[in-house]
Amino acid sequence: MERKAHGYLFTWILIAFLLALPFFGGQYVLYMVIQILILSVFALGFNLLLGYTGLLSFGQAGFFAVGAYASAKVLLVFPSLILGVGAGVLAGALAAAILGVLCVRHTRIYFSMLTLSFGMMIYSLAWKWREVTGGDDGLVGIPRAPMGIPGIFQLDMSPMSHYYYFVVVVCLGAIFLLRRMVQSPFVLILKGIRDSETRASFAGIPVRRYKLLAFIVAGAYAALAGSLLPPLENTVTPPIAHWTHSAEPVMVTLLGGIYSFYGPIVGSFFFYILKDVIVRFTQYWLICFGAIIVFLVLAFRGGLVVFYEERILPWLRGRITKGG
Amino acid sequence: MAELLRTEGIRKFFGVVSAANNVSLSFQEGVLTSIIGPNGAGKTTFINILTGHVKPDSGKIFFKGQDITDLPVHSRVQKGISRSFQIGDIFPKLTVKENLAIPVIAKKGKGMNFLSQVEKDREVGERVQDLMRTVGLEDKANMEAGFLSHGDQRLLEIALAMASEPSLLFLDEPTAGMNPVERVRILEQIRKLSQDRSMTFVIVEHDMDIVFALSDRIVVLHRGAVVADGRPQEIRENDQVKEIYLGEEVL
Amino acid sequence: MLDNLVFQGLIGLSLAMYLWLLSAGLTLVFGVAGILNFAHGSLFMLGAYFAFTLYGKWGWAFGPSVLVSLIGVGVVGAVMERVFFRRIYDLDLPYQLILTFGFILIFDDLVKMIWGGVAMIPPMPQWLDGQLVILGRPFPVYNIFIVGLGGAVALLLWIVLERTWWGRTIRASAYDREMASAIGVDIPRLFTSVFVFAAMLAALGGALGTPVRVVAPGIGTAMIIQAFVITVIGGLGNLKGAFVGALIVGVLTAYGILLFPVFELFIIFVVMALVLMVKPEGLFGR
Repeated sequence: MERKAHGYLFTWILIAFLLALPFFGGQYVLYMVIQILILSVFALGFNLLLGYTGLLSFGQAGFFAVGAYASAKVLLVFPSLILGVGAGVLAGALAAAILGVLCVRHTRIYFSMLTLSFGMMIYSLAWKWREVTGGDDGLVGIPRAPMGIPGIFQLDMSPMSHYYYFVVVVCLGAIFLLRRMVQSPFVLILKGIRDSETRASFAGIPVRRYKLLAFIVAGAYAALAGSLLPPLENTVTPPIAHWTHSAEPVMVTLLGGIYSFYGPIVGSFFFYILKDVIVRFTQYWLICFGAIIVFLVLAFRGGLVVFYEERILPWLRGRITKGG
Repeated sequence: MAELLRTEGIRKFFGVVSAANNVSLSFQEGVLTSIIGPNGAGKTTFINILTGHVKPDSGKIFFKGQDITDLPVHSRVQKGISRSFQIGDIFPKLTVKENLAIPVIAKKGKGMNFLSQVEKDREVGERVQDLMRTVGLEDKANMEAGFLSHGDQRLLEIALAMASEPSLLFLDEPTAGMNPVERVRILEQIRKLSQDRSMTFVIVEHDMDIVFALSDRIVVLHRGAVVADGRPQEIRENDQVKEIYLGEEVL
Repeated sequence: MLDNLVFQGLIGLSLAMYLWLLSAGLTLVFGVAGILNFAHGSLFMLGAYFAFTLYGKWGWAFGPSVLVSLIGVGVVGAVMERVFFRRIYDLDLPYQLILTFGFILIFDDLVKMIWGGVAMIPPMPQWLDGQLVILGRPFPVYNIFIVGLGGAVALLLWIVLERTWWGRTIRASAYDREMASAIGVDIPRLFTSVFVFAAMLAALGGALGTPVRVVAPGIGTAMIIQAFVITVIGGLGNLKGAFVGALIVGVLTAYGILLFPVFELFIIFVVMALVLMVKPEGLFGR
């Protein structure tokens, strides 16, 4: 009970903070929080596969890109934000369904190799298929379309604060949806598959089908995150499909904690702070992240959330009961 | 008595070793069968084939009259066949409750619920309680299965196999590694469930006391072939069987 | 048109050889130590950079440059295995993969730091320059050299694995590690030696490629993707499969570049998907 109250309090403070931010934060802060939220959604989808199903996908950036490009294409023709984001999510889910059928029938290792390969295949298409994707110049002039239902209402999204609220609402919605999902029978079965595929099939579970569904949800979340990018930046370019972008959810989830729901979110936050700091000192931030990953795997596998729960929380409780 | 499972001419070779050599057996409902034989006789392979974990080189399998030879594992489970493993296979990072919830959810067809909360499902909760009570693990309901003692893990293993509400349940060395108290408890449960006619058990065992105490029927395998098949008394008096076991178990 | 196709076929064969050198090491390490080294392509890249420095910058002769770069990368491989990989053999699979993945990031930036991010290409060594006229069509000598060398390495590898004590020990350990350890094989040492051997094969591929291929950050990763496709097609842990897979991927990529440039990677994936649908363990997999 105490733990739950603690959790609810924290959540509401955070939401209040997010909603109040435009009143005291400048454009840059809003921009950064949007990026953190986008990365959180991206990483949460990734971790549904890793932490909950035991599948390590190195190609989620491919679906992120599918979402981004699809939403961009739609926005260039029908300037409606809802339509753009919706198209992005659908395209991502569809791509995940098609590629997933091939990827989930194999062992974990093959799965990881295949996802890395497919991610890069999408990158290669984005880079070379000039007629459709604009090649390495990408797509430009994407409008930050108004959000609305024609004939009913229309909200202008050009001020950063307006778009910020849109992203907050969409991302929080996605996060709450997933939070609800991880308490469901579906995800319990995914966890069973993670722990022992053999046991799961002997419990009567069609394992492949569940893996495919998890893959589609993860792809949809990656695509949702991706579809929020074009209206923000007004352009879409191939690097968002590159494996180095696929490395981001891997890293932030490891940093925050693989076996915790909030791990990816915590990791995304710290990642942005870290990146912001590192980039001021050196252009070689990839090597820093690689080193951090190596360090985390060797010495700190539980991630920040586990560190908090096992070290900081008991210490805090100790102080509260002692001091008073 | 209804015939539950029938095999016809099952053959399986691993290289030149015959793990199953033209095995044709029939299992009747309510008849508790033990499969015995020296190490390497092919007992586990046989179960693997019947449950769909391993494909036979040739032969057919019929369950309740239906040809299930090509059915995948999960489909066979859904039809009513279940098994426990020799080397315990449980869900180590999940609690005992969660472990048992999985086959129950699968059985009740609730697996595709994305938004309902497992904790609050009363139907599942009651069935899980039931299962835990059957094997005596209720006080460890919230313990992570990986942290259970070896004996408790075997109990969980068996409860998992039972959770799918099978008509035919294969237990592969169920009492291996259990202490006497646990052993007695599980044997009582097996006997009770077998007499209720709710589940038909086929057990692979090495412990001859158990085999002779429980079984209605004993099948002896040697080098993948059926060497003897009959009531415990007949097996005890069978010379060929005694010869096979010379130097191994004492009947 | 026909001699275009034949020419491209030769290009494809020599590309296949680089891919073979890379995939052989990858699949060998997996077969013996059970680790899929995502950063294996980075060793290929290092081989290219080392050779480029010796040969393209310091003016060494080509042969010695290749040899020394092999040794250099071998040392890097030994350090990687001893210091880092040895600690992850007992970890869950995701952690192993994530660690090797992290190394890709490290190496990519490392080469940028040391050599700069600009793509470079050294001159062709004199004795391999020029063309050979076959069937009325000029073929670059270098490609023929690569194809020949690749075949020789494959043969050498076969001899080492079948006929030497080390090779047989590797195969035994791949088959049953516990048994091998029980009869006195020094498993940790063996793993290190396999890793070093694999690293040198990758470096050989990288080094040999320098006169005709660009030396730039990221070339290793581009190749590793194809190496993955190769090992999936051929079957993880299987050297024969890696060789056949490399031939398939190399030749198809070359034809893809010629005939469908936008979709060349796509074609490889379609082929891989087809193989997987028919034989999920790979053509020669278990």
